[in-house]
Amino acid sequence: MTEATNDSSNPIIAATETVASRRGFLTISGAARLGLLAAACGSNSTTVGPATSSLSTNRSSPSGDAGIARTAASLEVLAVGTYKAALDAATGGKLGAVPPAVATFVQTAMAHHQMALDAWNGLLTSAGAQKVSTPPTDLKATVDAAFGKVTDVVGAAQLALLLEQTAADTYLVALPLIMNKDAITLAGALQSVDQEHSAILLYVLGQYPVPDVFQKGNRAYTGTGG
Amino acid sequence: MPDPKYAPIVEAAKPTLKTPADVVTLAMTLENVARDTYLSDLNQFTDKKSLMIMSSVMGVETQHLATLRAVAALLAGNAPQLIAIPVDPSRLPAAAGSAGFPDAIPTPKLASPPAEGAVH
Repeated sequence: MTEATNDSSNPIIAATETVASRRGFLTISGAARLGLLAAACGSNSTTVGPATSSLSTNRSSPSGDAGIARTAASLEVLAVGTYKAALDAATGGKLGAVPPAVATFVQTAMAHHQMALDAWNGLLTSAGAQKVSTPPTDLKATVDAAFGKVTDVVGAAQLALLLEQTAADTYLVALPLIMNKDAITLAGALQSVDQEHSAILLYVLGQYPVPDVFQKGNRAYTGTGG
Repeated sequence: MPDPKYAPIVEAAKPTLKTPADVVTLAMTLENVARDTYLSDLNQFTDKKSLMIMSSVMGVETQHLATLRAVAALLAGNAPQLIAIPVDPSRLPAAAGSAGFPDAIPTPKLASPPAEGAVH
């Protein structure tokens, strides 16, 4: 690890140096707005420090672990809803012929995202916060507009890929900001499974399933959630 | 220097690799150990840069793992001709849509402890 972190020619090192500060998040995302990750860096501190065992629940601010958990949960709500809409469209014959593998994928991925949502809500409620049941309004509007143009399975798979990559990258970029150990492990696990979903979607779409040497985080959600 | 636990396991496995499925199974094991080790270690870091590097690598190892699982399922289903890019999705068996990710929330069952590969 020491050798790797001293290698300034390594592109991921350069990327992480950028990501490691609040200013870096805004730079890497290209976002002009404060969003999940920038908000989560609301303090000037850039030190993660030893992970703690309690979830910070400052409900008046989007910053901190609870803010990240709420936004993560809202992304999971959006994923569940979008997969449900795709399933309904497929069942209603609006996507044409649906290959069995794609039908299985949609059902499996939807169940995974529901379990992810339940996990985040479990962390939130155990810390005294409220459950999340609504998606981020800004991203939902974008996804709804895209979904309105979907007429076949390929279009649905491309939209699903966008959602999975967004979720995986959001978890990746959020990880250094989370203090709670359980939340770190949960975010890492969900980053992992969303990357797995992405790989299979890429394969189904005729692309190489592992396109990057390092996951970059450049598709992370940076909206306000409102 | 490779991991002292798994290097001999790989060496011992090499002579037994007779089929594509054998190779895929061994590769799956290695990718699974790597992914689980990274996932297990994420909450141990106090340094952001190291955490980001590890999670960035984990995100790719887990895609290798998912792909290998799908390949293994197609080999087991006697459908090696579907291991191709591009593939015709309409010809894929239903199981191909779920074989790559058996867990909704992966747990690091095969994680190696941090001290295992440490240079002493």
